[in-house]
Amino acid sequence: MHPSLLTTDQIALKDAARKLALGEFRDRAARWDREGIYPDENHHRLGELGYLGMTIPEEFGGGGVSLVDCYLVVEELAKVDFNTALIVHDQNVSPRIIATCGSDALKRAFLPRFAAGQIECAISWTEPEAGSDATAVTTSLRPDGNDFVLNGGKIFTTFGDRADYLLVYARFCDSKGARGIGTVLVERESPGVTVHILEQKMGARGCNECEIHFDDVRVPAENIVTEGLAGNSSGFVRPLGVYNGTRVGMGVLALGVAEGAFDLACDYMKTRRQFGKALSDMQGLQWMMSDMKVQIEAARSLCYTALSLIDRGQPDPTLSSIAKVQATEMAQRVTHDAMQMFGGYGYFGSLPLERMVRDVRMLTITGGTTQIHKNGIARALFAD
Amino acid sequence: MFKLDPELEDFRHEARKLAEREFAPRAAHWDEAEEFPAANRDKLAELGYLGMFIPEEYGGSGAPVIQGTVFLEEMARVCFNTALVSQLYLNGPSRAISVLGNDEQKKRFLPDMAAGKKFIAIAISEPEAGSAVTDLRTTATRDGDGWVLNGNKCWSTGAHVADYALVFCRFGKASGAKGIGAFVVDLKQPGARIGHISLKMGGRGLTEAEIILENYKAGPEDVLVEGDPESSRSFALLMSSFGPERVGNAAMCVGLAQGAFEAAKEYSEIRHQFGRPINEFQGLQWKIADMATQIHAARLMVYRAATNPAPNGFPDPMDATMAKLYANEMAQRVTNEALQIHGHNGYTREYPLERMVRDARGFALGGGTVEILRNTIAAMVYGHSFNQRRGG
Repeated sequence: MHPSLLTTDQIALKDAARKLALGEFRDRAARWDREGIYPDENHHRLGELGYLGMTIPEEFGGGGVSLVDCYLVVEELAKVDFNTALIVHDQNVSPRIIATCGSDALKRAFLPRFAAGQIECAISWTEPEAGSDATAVTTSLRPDGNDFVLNGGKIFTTFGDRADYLLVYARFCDSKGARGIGTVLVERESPGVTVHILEQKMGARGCNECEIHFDDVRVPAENIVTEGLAGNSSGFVRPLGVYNGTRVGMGVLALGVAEGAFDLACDYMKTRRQFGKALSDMQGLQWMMSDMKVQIEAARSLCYTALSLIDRGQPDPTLSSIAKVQATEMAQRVTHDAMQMFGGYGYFGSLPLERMVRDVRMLTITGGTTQIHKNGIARALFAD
Repeated sequence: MFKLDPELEDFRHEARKLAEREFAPRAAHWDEAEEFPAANRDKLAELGYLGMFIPEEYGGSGAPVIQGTVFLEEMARVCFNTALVSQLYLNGPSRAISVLGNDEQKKRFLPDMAAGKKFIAIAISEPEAGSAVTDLRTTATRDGDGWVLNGNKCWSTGAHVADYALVFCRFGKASGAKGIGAFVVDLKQPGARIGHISLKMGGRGLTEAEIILENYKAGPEDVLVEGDPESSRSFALLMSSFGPERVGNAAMCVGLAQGAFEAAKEYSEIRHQFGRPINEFQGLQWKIADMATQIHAARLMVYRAATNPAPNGFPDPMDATMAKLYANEMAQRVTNEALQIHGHNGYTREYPLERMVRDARGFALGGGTVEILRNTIAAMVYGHSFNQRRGG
């Protein structure tokens, strides 16, 4: 959001997040990446200061703020520490699905505990053979007495090793495609759930990706969030609305990291001298920086416009896809070019640039690959 | 050059078999452990690959540049770190010594290089002289019939595992390219020590280190090229001896991109989504077509640079510079697209793609950034170099 369009409250929110990020998170950021560990102490700090559960409605103990406000915070955190920004981003997925699709009993049972930071929930959707082809889910949930029984396997469940609950996409009956798919909350400690942490990855190394197996796991009926029905796809489609925000949120994560890298490059270019003058005096490099700035501002406008529409109750799924594609692809180029400004220091040194390049690489893949979003954009273009 | 000789194709076949059999299984290991692939170096030395460019009288086989190009391509296709070590043996200091050294120096260093017993690093960059290489400040001061060296070198690839380093120094009070010459420094001798060792994004089997020289005493026999404070000739001579290094760098890009491309092609044939193999999607077919075209273009540029020498016997500077520029950027695009085709699998360490992307990234920074290469090409296009020190 352009600074002049922010309210006084939003400016204060952004400033506070920035102060926290620079004062506490920046210096620790390299550690989560290097050691491949979850930023636990940052998580606690965020909880203490009320940054977890920001978008959960006030009646359930949350902050009740808009997505725009929440992502102003995420953007500031992402400028210095992608792994910590992901924690705040992630609270907008499962709790929002429960808040928008769940029964009143489910909301009362879960949302206050999310808001207080007492429990966490991971989305468990992707399967080895159901990646981009997201409705090819085969994990099955079947009634058994008063309960249900869950069987199947998931992959790339982010935070699956630490979440108390898993929000699982499962097929409720013998069906094909989106019909029959619904969602259910599964306690990770339930008998029959095994979690295997996957091999480390290129970036975002502070959060683990997991492979999860469900072997005759008993799930109480009241844990069903959206019921999968043989006759229609509502159990699958209803939670999807929330992903409009998630997608744009990934764009904001990308925007934050890109701005962080860009700011570092800008400062460095004023002080680094080669050939007897500052790098900022070289026209070729000036043009590279101008191009980067143009791309960053385009992403900012797209992302916050899409989020404002969701906040107003008028989500535009195509615009959400456009914002995600533009911002996440932009961040690949911008972090890459910002690193280039540092020459050898960017690649060989202990600066955060190479980490930033690795972190944002994930964002054109998760939350729907760029290619899958382009399919959606094209469908909207050519729809009758 | 549009077709390789059949003997070269046989040579490629042998190199590929060796790489797939011996080096592929541990390619991820050198990256993860950040370990120098000494075992691979020893194997290559034993088979005579490392002395390929060293003249026969000094224990090598005196092969043409194109053979080394094919060799580096095949190494980089499966194990980038092994290619990087090979590149330093083939096109690094041994090349400069073969061309510029006296007979004693050749006898002293080359047979051990060919046998893989010794390793010589290159030390040119300094903290304040990166792209502006002629700003270097490491000094060589007369001391009896020898010299005393002082200064700090950074990003010297493999310095911490090397026996010697070829160190660029300034003789006398000159500035710019004038007065620059080079010594072979024994890193085990007093006055030379290793400083900070970098942890880097890719190429992690052979990282860079700082070399600190404090009153290092060099004998007259250690001078490879003496700098002349009145002239930039020595510097130009040294730089031209690194022409083959650019060609080798570009060859590694082609190999690395080829490896990533093949992985993506195979994956797209077996991975099914929406009920069919993903290579049946037109958008993906076009990605593969673009990748194949770019690899092909880069390979032709590299082969031309390798087979079309300038009158001084080194690769034509325009050919070599353009080949490195194009291949550097091509390798980044192609490895990155290959990762994308693998979806989330590509981002994990269970597949080699994320490593290949990280490995490819260093090319546009080391051995002349792509921006500096553009300066060089523009200077050749206009027929004169531009003063990069002027305002604007």
